[in-house]
Amino acid sequence: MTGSSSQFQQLEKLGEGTYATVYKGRNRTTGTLVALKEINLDSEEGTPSTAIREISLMKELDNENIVTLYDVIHTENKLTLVFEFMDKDLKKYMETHGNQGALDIKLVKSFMFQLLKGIMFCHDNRVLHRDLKPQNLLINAKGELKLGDFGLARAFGIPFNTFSNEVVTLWYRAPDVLLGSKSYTTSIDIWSAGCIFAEMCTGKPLFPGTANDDQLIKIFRLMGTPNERTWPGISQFPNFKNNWQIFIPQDLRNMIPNLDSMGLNLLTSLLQMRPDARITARQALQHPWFHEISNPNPLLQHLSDPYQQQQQQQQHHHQQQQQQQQHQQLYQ
Amino acid sequence: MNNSPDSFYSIRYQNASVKASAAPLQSMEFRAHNTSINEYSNDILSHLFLIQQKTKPNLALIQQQPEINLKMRPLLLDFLMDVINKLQLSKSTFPLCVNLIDRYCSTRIVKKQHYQLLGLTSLWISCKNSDSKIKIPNLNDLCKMCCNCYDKKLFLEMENHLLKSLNWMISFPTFDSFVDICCKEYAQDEMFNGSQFSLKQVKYMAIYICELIQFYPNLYFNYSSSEISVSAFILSLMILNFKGVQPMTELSKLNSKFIDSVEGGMLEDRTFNTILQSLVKVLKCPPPSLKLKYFSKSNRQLNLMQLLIKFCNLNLTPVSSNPITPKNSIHKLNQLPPTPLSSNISPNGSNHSHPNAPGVSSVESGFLPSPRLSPHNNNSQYFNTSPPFTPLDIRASTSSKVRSEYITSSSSTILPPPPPAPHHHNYHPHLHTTPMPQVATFAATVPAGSLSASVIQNSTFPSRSSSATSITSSSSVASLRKRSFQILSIDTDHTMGTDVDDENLKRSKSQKPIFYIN
Repeated sequence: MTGSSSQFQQLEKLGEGTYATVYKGRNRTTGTLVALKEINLDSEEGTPSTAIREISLMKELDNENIVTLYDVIHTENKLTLVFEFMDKDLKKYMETHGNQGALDIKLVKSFMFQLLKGIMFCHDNRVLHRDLKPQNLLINAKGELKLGDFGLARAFGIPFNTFSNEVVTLWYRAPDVLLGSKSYTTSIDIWSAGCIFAEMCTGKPLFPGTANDDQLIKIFRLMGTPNERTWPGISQFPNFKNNWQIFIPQDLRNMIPNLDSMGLNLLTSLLQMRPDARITARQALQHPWFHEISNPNPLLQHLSDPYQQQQQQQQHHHQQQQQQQQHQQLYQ
Repeated sequence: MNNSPDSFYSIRYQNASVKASAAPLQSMEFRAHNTSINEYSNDILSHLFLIQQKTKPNLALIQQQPEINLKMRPLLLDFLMDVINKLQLSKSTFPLCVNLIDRYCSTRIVKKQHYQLLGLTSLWISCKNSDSKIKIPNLNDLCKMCCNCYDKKLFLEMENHLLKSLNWMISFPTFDSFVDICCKEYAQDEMFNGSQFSLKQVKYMAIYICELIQFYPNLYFNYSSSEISVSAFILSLMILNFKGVQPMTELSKLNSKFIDSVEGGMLEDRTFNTILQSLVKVLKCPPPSLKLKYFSKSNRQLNLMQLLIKFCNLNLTPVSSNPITPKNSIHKLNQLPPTPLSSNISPNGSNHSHPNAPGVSSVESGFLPSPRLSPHNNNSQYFNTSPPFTPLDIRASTSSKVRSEYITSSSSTILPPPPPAPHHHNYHPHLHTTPMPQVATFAATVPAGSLSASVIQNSTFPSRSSSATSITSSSSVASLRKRSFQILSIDTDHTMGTDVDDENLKRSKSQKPIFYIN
């Protein structure tokens, strides 16, 4: 399927990334909504490597929790990727639907489960996303969460390759990467998932650092300053310092009071400082916190889909209001 | 590197690189990676097999190409391999590049003049896919590589067209990913205890074998990249002569480990035998680029390559009563001229680039059609003194003088190709949308000498002095064919030609058995 850009009507701008602009679009013939990611082509560079990687990886990854790439339109000075349209990214969703950004725990559970399923699928297909953050998680009207923006994604080898350590937005960057490890592995996506988990519960980013060192200190403040005893071999890292301020690990419960202990347990296993101690996506999906999603009880069916429940409540509420208005109108 | 005023530069450099490699950190990272990967390895492997199925080139269609044929393929690959060596690109760049070329050739008609354009563009794309940003050549570099015979615009159009024709399926499970999987299985193996070789060296050897196979279409197209990688891995275990290596047991060991993720295992016993038999015949017949990379004095692993030649000689000689007695060979090897490692340290030693030399910059170092004289002379010295009689030896000894004549003469006779005819832009709308025939018309306008210009200077094979002087850009077609034929027929006794019909293969099979297998 090769289309031309005239096939789509360009609507409002949805966002701007480092190398692309995303617009909402409508297919002129079918009327379906799409997201158009436009990449300007440099006459010296040709097709950017990020685009080549993103497209070829997206073609491999076909999963319900990963945004579908419908088509690629390649013209002389512009490359347009046609993606499935999603209503909002997680960041905007939290702003509009959350209580000061914080989401209902049932909704958090549903989103986390889908996020981990998407990550597992990537890792199964030897792809590292490397840039997981709320802005890159997209949510549609059905309450489905999908991973998007594979611009930084890479395929990894079984014995690792080394990569640049300038990946993942600072706030979601794993401590081993911050310490200068270049051969990180699937565990960096897991750390990001942990940060997103906490952010969904509280509505605020967990470690909003401003620079590499500041980011590390913010992590240590909560997780405790690591040393050779808690993390054997840490002094080998290029960015290791002897004179870090010593912090004692804090109880995550104080940070996120609304999360139950089972959820806190999962969060702690996601946010392990040592990459080899971090849980994998596959293990995390088996975690008892997800029990009600992974083994749905027909009697508790409604619990498994908190989003729809919320929608129904809203609709119900809406209807009641309308009825009241009608009543009022009748009586006036 | 030798321009440095510091006479101990290379020693310092070596020390610094040892320090920078941070062995404890790396082993820590490796362990961390292993724990998280163990859970996924089965799924990853089956996924690799799936992509492998999807990205297979079609040999029958390539053979239907009207202008290009399989004899040109090794020439092009040789040129690309040289570029990759100069740029020091990753191990997966070359196999991916070859895969892109072959897949494109099985979907579209390629004009002869554009074969090199296709090659360089594939290289560009695969480099963008698997290398870090700093190493990706820009358009100017690409133009220089082919002596400016293609316009910048042509590269952009070709890239656009190639990506579209392959439907953007760029990822391909390269040899090194499968070799790595094998290495992982052997990481804890007993045979490495007390051996002088490490797993890293086995990998090095296996990668050489895999790279070599790509130059031989009848091996490359008949087997999948997983099959080739597994056989290369086992063969390198045999070459490095580990204690108690039995090819068949190693194979069944690997097969049984992957039986969950791949139906029927990685490789059948019979296929493995055929691959091995044909492999031994080509092992020591590398194309010039690989010869330069692996068999030149500056190679630190030259001792491994010596073992390889030894291994071939043992297995190629008519079968005596004792087919392989590998243990004796080590002693004999020690009498070979010492490995040139030491001479390497002196700053005035070799003047061609050291594999780890810093800043062997891509463009300035006089790009591809570079005179290969010095490395080859080194080679010839080395191989003349070595006792085994190898194909490498033949080439080097007979032709060093002829070659020098040849190179000077060819470079003087070939005129710089004229700039591409301006009217090719008339055709370029076709390039975006077209199936084959239109592309062909678009192709016709680039000067005919373009492909040959760099290829000729690159190939350094003997017995072509007669044809060399007659080369002009107009007669390049015929001479190119002739030359490629010569290249491939050098080792007629041992090598198989490039024709893919199995005749050669059968003939080779009918020779005496090579391996002593159970």
